[in-house]
Amino acid sequence: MLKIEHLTKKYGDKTAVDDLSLHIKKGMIYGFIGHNGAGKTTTIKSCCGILQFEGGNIYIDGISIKEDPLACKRKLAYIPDNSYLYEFLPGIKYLNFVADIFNVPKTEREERIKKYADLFELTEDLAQPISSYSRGMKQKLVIISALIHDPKLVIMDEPFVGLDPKATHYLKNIMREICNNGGAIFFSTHVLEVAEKLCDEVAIIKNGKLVISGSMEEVKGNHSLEGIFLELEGE
Amino acid sequence: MLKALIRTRLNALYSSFFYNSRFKKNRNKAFKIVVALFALYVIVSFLFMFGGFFYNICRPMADSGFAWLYFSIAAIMAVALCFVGSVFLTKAQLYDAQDNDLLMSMPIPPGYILLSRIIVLLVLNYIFEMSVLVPAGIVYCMNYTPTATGIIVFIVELLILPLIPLTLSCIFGWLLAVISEKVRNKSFITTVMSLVFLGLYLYFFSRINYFLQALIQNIHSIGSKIQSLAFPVYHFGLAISGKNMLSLILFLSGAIIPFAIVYALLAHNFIKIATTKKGLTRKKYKEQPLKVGSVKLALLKKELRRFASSPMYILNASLGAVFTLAFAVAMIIYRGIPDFIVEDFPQIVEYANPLIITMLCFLTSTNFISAPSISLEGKNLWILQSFPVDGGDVLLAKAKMHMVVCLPPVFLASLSCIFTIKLSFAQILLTLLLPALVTVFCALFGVVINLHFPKFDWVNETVVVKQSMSSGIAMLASMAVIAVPAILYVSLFTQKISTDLYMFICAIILIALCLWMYRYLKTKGSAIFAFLGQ
Repeated sequence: MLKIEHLTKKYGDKTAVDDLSLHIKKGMIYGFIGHNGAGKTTTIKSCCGILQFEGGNIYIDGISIKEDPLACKRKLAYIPDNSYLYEFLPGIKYLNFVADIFNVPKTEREERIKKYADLFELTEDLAQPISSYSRGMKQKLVIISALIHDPKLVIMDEPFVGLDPKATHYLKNIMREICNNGGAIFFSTHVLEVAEKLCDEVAIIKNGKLVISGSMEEVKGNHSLEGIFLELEGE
Repeated sequence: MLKALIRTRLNALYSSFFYNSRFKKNRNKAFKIVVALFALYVIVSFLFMFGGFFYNICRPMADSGFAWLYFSIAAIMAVALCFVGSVFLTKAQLYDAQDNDLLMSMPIPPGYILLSRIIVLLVLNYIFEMSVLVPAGIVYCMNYTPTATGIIVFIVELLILPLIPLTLSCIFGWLLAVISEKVRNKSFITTVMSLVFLGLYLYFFSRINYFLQALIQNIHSIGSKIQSLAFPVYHFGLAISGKNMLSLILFLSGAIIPFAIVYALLAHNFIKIATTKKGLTRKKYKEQPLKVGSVKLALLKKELRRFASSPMYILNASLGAVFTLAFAVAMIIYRGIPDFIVEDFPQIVEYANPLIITMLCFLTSTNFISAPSISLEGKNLWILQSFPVDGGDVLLAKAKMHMVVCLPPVFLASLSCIFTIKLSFAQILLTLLLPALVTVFCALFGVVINLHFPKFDWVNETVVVKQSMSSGIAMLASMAVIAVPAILYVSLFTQKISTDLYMFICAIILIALCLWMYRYLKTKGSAIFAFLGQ
């Protein structure tokens, strides 16, 4: 579903991501772990086609993001690590705007908005301007907008930040549901317990380079993910 | 601490002109020199404009024993200019800045945050004030020999006078902030209020000659009214002309004490005002059928909503559209060119069509809605960049938004001219075509220029709309598109080709330029947009 091949991204002289290769298959929740500034967000943004990279290539469902970025973007949804949204729009208008952009048919968009807004308890607030939303409400709105076109691949940067425990629980269920329906999830997180319980595979990145990747069992063995992460970070 | 805050504000102001957000580096020296030269040109123009005005009233007033009134009028004009120049900025700077939360979370006294912003506003007020008072002082010195005491008093008053407009704009900004807590359609109400305010201001300046005559004819009664109603400016004039120390003290008290009171009140309420959420009742969402639209329509609707959400954006970037509407109404009321203009300039009838077309083109060229539109994406840029939309469509939606706002008034004005002035078929075509083409040109050019001069790291959107390089260049270039062909024609081609033919040639050149910009936005522009802000 998502194939990163020898990705290299530089900011001036600094190499943010160095020859990174990952393969996220259909039906897989893939965790991406690393310290602050390790290159997680750079990798994620490159996968979403909003960051140019010097070396390597990224394929979404077999399509190169370099060659056909629009086709790739139609298949994926991106949830960033911030919740900057159009504050001047009411929540429902924003969701409808996203639905228009992704050409979601009327009935489907109405059903999905109802389903996810009810689930995240945001329905009553949809008429309010986004400027009046709390951080958590904005994060919920970003999640709903990401799910509105039924994406095959969801790329998330720290998706649980700002969410209450109930919403976190629902998001985890949705992530599993997408994978069960043949989709894939690629997400970064600092919450190692969540990654350990949720992910089928995991990759740890340090200073832009891949340190280790594989199934959760392969990576952590008999240890905890936290222990492995700290051990690798200390090297 | 206060120094650091002021430095940050001034740095933000500086970087709004001289920092290239696209390449994340300061602009080069040549660019800074061009900006400095332009600023110098604006200042010199103001000095000459006000200098001319004061030259006409200085001697008649001073010779009739009303030198104090001369300075009082200069003070009133300076206060009015400062107030109008800074009042729209005040609310944005004091209460709507994006870094309010960040600064208030730090161990900084709220008074310091407020003071740092007020000081920056004060600096701006000094610039406005000096463009009035310096020529007033120079004109006085040209006519009369100044004394050392007079010069010292003048300088002291020059330094203190801006506190009066600053006090007024602080109160106005505070009122707006309080009102915006209560009102739902605050964007609409603020826009209407500001337009009414601006209308009054323009009415006053359009009748300045009448007021000037009335002033000289009724010098005694006006003098006594200023004396009784506007005591700080009365003592401002009296202190300079009569070197009256008591008047100086009274003026200083009249300027400093109200400012101190307002500042103390604002500092006391600053946290409350800056952090209070709207006191509106929560509007509960009721499920309703959603409208489905195309991608291009969705992008356009989003741009229009963005535009309509900000009175500051509307008032600054689309004032030309309001004037164009006013022009259309005037043409209908006067049924063509007003008689009083024809009486003064009879030859105007012969050139009515090219003049009216030029005027319409000029009015529409003052709109620069599209010029800050990319920068205004700010931190939301990720949304459009991560969506499966062609960058060219995003950019064209911004240009279309400009056209949707500006073209209807232009067509109305063109039609009002066509129905009120006798024109040939070619002239009717030109009246419809040229102003519309200039509007399209400005719309596309604004986006092209903003693509190359974006600014995403703004704290307040006022900086992007009013003070960014993109808006400045777009305004100048749009005006140049009118001025250069007009000057060329007057100086080179009047005897060689008819105005109609010349305007058709201009129209063809404009069409070519618009087509080129359209293609540029769809191809290269799209590629640039995809990775803007990296």
